[in-house]
Amino acid sequence: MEAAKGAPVEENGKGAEGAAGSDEEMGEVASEKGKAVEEAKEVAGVKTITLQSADGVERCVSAVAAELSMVLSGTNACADTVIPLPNVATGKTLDTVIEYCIKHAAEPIIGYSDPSAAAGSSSVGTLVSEDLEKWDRKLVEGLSADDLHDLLMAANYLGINGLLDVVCQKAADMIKGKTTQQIRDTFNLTNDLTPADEAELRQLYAWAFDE
Amino acid sequence: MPGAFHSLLLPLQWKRKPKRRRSRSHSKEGNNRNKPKSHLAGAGAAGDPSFNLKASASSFPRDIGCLVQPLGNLLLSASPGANLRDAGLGALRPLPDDLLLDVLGLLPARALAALSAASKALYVVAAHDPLWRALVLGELGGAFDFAGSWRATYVAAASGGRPHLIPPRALRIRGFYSDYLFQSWLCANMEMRHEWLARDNIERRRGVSVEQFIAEVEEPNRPVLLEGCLDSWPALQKWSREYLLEISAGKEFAVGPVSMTLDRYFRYADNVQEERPLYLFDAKFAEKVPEMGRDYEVPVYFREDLFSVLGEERPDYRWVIIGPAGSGSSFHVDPNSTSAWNAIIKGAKKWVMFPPEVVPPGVHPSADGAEVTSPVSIMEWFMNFYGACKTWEKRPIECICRAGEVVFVPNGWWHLVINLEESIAITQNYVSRRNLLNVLDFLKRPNASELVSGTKDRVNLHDKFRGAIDAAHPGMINQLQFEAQQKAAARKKKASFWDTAVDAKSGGFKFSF
Repeated sequence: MEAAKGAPVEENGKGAEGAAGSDEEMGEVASEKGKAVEEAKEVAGVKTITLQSADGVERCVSAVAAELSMVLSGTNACADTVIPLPNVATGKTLDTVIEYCIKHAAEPIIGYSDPSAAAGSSSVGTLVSEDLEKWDRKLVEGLSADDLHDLLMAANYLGINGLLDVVCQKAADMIKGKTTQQIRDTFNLTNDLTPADEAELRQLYAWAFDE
Repeated sequence: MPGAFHSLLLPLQWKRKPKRRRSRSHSKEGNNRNKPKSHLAGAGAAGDPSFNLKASASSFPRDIGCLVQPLGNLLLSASPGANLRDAGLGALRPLPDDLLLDVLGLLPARALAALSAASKALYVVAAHDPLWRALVLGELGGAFDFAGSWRATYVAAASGGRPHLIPPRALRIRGFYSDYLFQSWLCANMEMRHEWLARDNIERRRGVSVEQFIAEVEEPNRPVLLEGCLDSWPALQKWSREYLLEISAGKEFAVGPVSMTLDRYFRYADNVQEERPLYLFDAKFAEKVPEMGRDYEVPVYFREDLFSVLGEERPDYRWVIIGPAGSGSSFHVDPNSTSAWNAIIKGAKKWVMFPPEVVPPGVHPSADGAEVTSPVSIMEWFMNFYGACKTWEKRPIECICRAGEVVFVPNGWWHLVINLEESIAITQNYVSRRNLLNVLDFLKRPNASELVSGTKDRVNLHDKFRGAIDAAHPGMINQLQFEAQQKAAARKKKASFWDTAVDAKSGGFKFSF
């Protein structure tokens, strides 16, 4: 049983390393992630499922980690069935999602006696430690606007509330503290307000622009 | 009666998913032919061509209503395909509206203001009033002077507190289409349709004895509307706004996530126009203002109050409820498996109730019952799900309850309530011998600590209660359990009799369980 489960992951791991040729950094990251998945699997000792991003990349993930997704939790699929996820755009997105799930599935949750219930619960009941929050922030740190968008759509689609919170917070952080023009530059916005409009807004929000 | 509140509320009662998890069903009324100047027309869910908007809905170009149209309009507009939303959001464009609002909901006021000035589209999205409500309540608590909209309220407070009711001048922007934002505006500005109020099939009783009530209503666990049992209440005559303001002067009442004085609350209630108005719902009103506690008494049918054995440690059990038209509680089941009564002193409430085993349309409780996902607002429920009641598993019990009347809510029943006009009511939850065993079972559940409401010490409530009952009423629990077993046995006997009677081939007596 164990050996049979081992095989698909190894294949995927090879696949990921094979991709390293084209993009070394990505490959390293991918194979690290592939290893993380394997380790997690061994620790969990339970079944895994296979997910496929929209661009065809396949990844194996433990069912325990997948429980964080409201859509995937409780699925009866075994490792042989590939679950296509059309709203998870790229393999990179999928890897980030899986990384998040593995990390959070492994965290001890304060205040719950039943760990499997905690893993699947929404962010309302979960007490996230400061370290974990730091880790979450780091996870989304280097991502481009496109990556963030992909991740947001994936988290929304899969129903991973915690990850959704993290990405939304990141997007909000990209807005906070900026002037209006800086916001326009960050998000590629054209100013289509008339000068009269702008004048009214300046008056309305005078208290905000006082700096 | 503790209700299912807006997600802004402190999670004292039902734990609520973050508000983003509600997904709006797309309104069918998207095919408007007229620009939304005075009166919107379109195909209604029930085929009726008009929305009944509140009179004040379009008189001021102050809120987002004049800024957003439903997507259906885009198809019929002069320049289809030209949605300001697409042009004006830049890299944020692919975000669906609900996620976009989630992101904006994380911004402090300064950032939201800066964002508003970035483009027309962002101005429209950032003007979504609930965003500003969160900011007002977060920063000012209950100490706000409502200025007609939450944005106006925040702006007035931030600009040195000029609390007059002149709304901030809204920019004149056309061409922004969004179902999500439009639906929000619509729910805030609609009035209840006649066909939602027409059905009234609740059992009405008057002048029954307590024994009759117990045997015919409480035991069978059926809802009923009681007439004429508030005649002795001084509150019915005395409770005008002036009187209440006088006796409660300066005292703060629980309103959603904040506390505020009654005069502030009335000023809000008189000027508000939103999907889910803040609701005054206070469990300590009699302690805060003893005169209020003296102006009413528990109707005779509900005097058995077993949680009273816990004394000071009993869960919250009585509330005064005050709210404007449109306020109310969306579908929920009362906590702790208690039963409830709700007496109207002033105003009128529409009730929709389903029995415990029938989950209402549009409602999705989680497996352990700890969370309930329901539509965004009561108005949206009526718009999108009321129609399904016609063909639902069981049709609901409905009524309009008015001043002087009392609704009995049997334990476990789903219920939804909406105020049709400004209403003042008192509600209590209670445990009698009829639901004592249910309550004990509920408190024994492993996740009781999450579900049990209204107490500080949730985990030990079962043991405490059980102990206190045994002390004050020795033998009661055992007696009830015995009676319950007998009833169950009698039911089983009945069942197996039918099995044998119907099974013609058996030719003799046969046990079948």
